[in-house]
Amino acid sequence: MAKMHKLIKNEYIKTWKKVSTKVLFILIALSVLALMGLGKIVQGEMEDNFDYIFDSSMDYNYEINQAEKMKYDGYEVDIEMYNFIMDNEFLPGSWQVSATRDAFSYEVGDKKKIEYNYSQEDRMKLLQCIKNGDWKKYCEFMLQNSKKQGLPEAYTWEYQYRISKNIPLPANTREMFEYPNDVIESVAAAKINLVDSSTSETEDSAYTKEWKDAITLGMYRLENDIELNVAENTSLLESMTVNFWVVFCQSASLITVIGVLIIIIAGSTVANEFSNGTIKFLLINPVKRWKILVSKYVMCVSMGFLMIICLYVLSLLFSIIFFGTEHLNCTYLEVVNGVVESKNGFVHVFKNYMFRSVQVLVMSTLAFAISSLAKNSAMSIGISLFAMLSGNSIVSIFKKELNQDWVRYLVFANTDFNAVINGTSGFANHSLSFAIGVVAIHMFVFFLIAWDGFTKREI
Amino acid sequence: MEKNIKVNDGTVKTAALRIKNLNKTLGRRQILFDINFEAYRGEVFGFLGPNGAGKTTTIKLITGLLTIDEGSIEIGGYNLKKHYEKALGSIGGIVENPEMYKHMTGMDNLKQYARMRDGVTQERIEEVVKIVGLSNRINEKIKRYSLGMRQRLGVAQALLHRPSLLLLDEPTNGLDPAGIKELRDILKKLAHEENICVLVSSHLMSEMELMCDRVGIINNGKMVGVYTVEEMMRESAGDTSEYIYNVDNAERAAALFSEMEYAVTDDTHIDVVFSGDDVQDRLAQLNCKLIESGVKLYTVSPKEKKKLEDVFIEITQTGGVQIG
Repeated sequence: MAKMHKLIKNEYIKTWKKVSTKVLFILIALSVLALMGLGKIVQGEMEDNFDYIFDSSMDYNYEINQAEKMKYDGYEVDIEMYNFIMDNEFLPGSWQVSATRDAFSYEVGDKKKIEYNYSQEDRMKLLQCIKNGDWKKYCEFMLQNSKKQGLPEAYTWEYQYRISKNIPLPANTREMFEYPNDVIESVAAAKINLVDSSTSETEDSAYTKEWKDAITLGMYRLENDIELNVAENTSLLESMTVNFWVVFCQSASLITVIGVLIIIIAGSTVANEFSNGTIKFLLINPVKRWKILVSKYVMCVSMGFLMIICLYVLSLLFSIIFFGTEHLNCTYLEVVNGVVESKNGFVHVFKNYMFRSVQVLVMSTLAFAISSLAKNSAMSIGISLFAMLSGNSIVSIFKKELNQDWVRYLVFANTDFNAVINGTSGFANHSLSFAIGVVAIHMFVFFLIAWDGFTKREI
Repeated sequence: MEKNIKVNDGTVKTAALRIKNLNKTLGRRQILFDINFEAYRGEVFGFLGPNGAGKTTTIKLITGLLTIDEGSIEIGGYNLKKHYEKALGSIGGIVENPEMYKHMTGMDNLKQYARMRDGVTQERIEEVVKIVGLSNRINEKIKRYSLGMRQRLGVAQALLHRPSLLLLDEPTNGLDPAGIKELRDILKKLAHEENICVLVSSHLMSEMELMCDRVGIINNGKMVGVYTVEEMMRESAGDTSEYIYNVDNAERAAALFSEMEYAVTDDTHIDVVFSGDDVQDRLAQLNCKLIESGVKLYTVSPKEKKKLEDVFIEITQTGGVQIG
């Protein structure tokens, strides 16, 4: 085996001395920079248009005009409500707005008689609190009111909690989406959902579990005062804000770029020896052919992982540079079997990288196999790129549109270990061991093809 | 492992390459038919044949680029099939064109090959670079090399691990006359001084004549025979010697020679053909007679021998003659 490491060294030198390989690494850096740029743009958009994005009902004059035009039952009450909000200059997203809406809520009874949900006395009290901006009094009022009506604890929890912890209600849209208001809101919503669903006939255990977990997680964060949970900041598209963790987690999607690059290397490492005529000088050496093949494969795979590590480090570095170190020591919180587990965010992201690299590994092995069989780099790169970029869609078309379950045995249906673990792969009873088995068999077949094509070839 | 063999002329030699009953079919066409020959250390062995005769196929089989259908190849005493790495460890070679990694320097390329072979030090690399005369250009990228320079680098690559068998497929391709002469001297030196077996394939007979000790001729995939260069010359010329006489009275001299029962091939120039071993003595006797009979004798010169080129064409076109 002493010779093996020399052979691998040879392959590394050959590949590294090519200008194109250096360009590939530069491309990785550029793609990371592009992601950072995108993150900054999204962040800027959110800063500038936060209220517009999350609260569209700001134009009360327009609402008043519409109400006057349509003259529906109780429109006068709505106009009075809008005027109340405008006169007091309540900010959009503030608790006063929603409280006002609540205070002015009504039902249209017999003979089109307007019946407020609160008694006149209570309404006056309520509006007084709202006008004064006294959130504590408002909470106390709501608490007593709910108790009077005999509502379950879930409906009063938020008010109780805010009073006891002295946490004011949100004063604008931004605060609404910020800690701790977002967490309190989600716990309250989950509690209410849980109570409601327990009384309804159709009880869905999946939702029940989800709500219970949300409560456990939310309470954990509130008790330990955890401002940011990495698990809620993993995607540019889904997160409410853009911070270090959002872009750093999102960088895992760049593994696809590495997939393309490593397919180019794997698809040309054998084929180029043939097309440049160097294969004869390579094989004339006192080394068995399979050793040369293995050294080339090891080079491709390890180069791929080198690129992934490079991506990880660059993403980490640029994320810090562009988005600061503020949230660096946040953790990834997850509820497992009803208990909150706190995981290291960096480990989580790395794990995600590794999961995503499965597809890259499989496709580069395919490229390698075709390359040693066909001696043609263009063909092997083309086929493998097509397989990588469209394999998933082909599988989902067969599964969802044509209802063909056998596609579960295809490698494309099994490369996303994350989806398999979370049960979102689209196939019933899809276990991780099944996925690993299918991937391993495919890899073995690909490598066998490469082996056969290379060691027995007449040159 | 190497066995010493007693050769016909009585000297003891070591076989660096031994090929037995080699057959090879590529696609549907049989390329080689029962090839048998041996090449020894200390000689330059010329592997001759017209284009398409099977020279390159044979060399590819020896270097393991093609798999053997039937028969066996032994290199330095190791069977190629059974001891692949050991057998190839004693081979250095160039097959077809000297194509190397163009994006790397000559030195980088040599280092690549050095890593794949045993016991090649940096000093050895520099030594072979010096032998092939590339010291000044070795750190340039191959893409800037001329064909001749690449050929030299190919030879350097082949010599790195001090092989006992050096295989060169058409090594003079692309070399200028000075380069060819230089290469010829290098190869002769390697064979005769460093006791390497140098096997050179070529279709250029004139080249081989100047370089080789022995010549194996292959035609249409069949081995025609293996000869020493002297053997070939002598046998192709027959067991006779021809001399050209320059005299004042040709008719008279011719009559005299005929009387003495020497064959005269041309009346006007008088070519006299001798057969037998005591040519020198009989030549002196004849000269004496000629002068005694009053013919003025200006010069006697041996007729120029045939070139190997002519012999080769003769052999390959007639499908082979039996020599020796």
